Amino acid sequence: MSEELKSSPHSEALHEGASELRRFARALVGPVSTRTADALAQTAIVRIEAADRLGEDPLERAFAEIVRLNRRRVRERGRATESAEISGESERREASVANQISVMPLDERESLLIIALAGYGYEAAARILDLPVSSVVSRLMRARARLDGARPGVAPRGGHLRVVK
Amino acid sequence: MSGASRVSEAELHAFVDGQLGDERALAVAVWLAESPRDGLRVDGWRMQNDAIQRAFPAPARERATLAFRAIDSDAPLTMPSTPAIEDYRARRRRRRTMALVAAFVAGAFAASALALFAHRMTTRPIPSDPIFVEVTTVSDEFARRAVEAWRTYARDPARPVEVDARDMAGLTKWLKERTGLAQPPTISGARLAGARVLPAHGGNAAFLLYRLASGDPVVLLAERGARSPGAYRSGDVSARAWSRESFDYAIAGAVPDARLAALAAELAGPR
Repeated sequence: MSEELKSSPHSEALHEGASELRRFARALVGPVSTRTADALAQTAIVRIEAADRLGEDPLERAFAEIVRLNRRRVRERGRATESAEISGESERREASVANQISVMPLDERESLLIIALAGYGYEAAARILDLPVSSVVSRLMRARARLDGARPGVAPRGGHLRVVK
Repeated sequence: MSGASRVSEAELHAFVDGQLGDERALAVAVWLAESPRDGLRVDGWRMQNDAIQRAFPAPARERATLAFRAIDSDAPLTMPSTPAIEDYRARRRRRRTMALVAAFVAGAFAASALALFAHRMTTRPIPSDPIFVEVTTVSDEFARRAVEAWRTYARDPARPVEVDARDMAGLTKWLKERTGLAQPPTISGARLAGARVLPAHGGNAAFLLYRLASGDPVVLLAERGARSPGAYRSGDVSARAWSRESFDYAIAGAVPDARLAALAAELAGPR
């Protein structure tokens, strides 16, 4: 057998974060595409692992790669303005948060998930999503207003937000 | 409304996401204490965040393999060389063997510990301490939440609390408005660092972060209620819970059991 495969801190960080990356990818892609989501995460991990860049956070780059790969997947399938893929099961879970997120526009879903699920701050989220911070925040606000709209008795402040149906 | 400065929609979101500086976070906290409608919305977003965390559980931890099939819509990827894959697999096989050995040893140890525990439980009377039941593995919901809150916030280097204890008057007023807790309890030998408000089943819970003289963080969770006493442990973090004057309390920290018990006894004892 040949010599032991070298394991750098860069690779370790990616493997340690693999579960979080897959979780984010699954939420981003939607409920019926677990295999596709896992493949996205896997692809991102391998690509970032193969291209160590000094001074850059490999996990942050892997999140950005998942976002980029998913945008490309959606664009190539002609679903840029559509929601995530929805299963028949989702009809039975109509009120669930997961289902509400899965039918959000992709740009809002990305911002909401990178902050509320992956736990990144606004500046890191802007780097990952390749957007200005102001765009990330406005998309996050729209996403939360959309979820608020599904809760009885909660309405946004007048004039600040437009709830898109 | 009193003198609290107007807070923008974006700042409310930034407050929920821990993106404001100390000064502005305090201003928002004061605003929320005086603006119940915005307070409800902020609580709603916090609950959304919690619901999102619950809606997408983390998949089982597993290391990514080097050999994989690219997704259909993506460009072909360059596969790692065969020797690299073989090396990785060999290492993984060695790790699995070691993991099996470790699992066997851990299983034997756990069986011994269980036998010892069962023996002690059947031969020892229940302790007479009126406050606590000496069972560290009983899953108590409130104590478990204290452990989870400790894990989530206590070691956050950037923003462990929403409102700093340097403004004690503002902190006390805010906590009273939001949670009903009249006064953050004092703990001898510990300094209050600040507080958060966390969503709870029937209202809000106060999250109080203290730092011991050693620098170790301990968390006191308080919310209205009258549960039974209990304890919970997860890894190196443990918690003890009790009720006092229509409030439930749980103290959590990664400190020795005796130290945690002493802190809990001090808080639960006469004031």
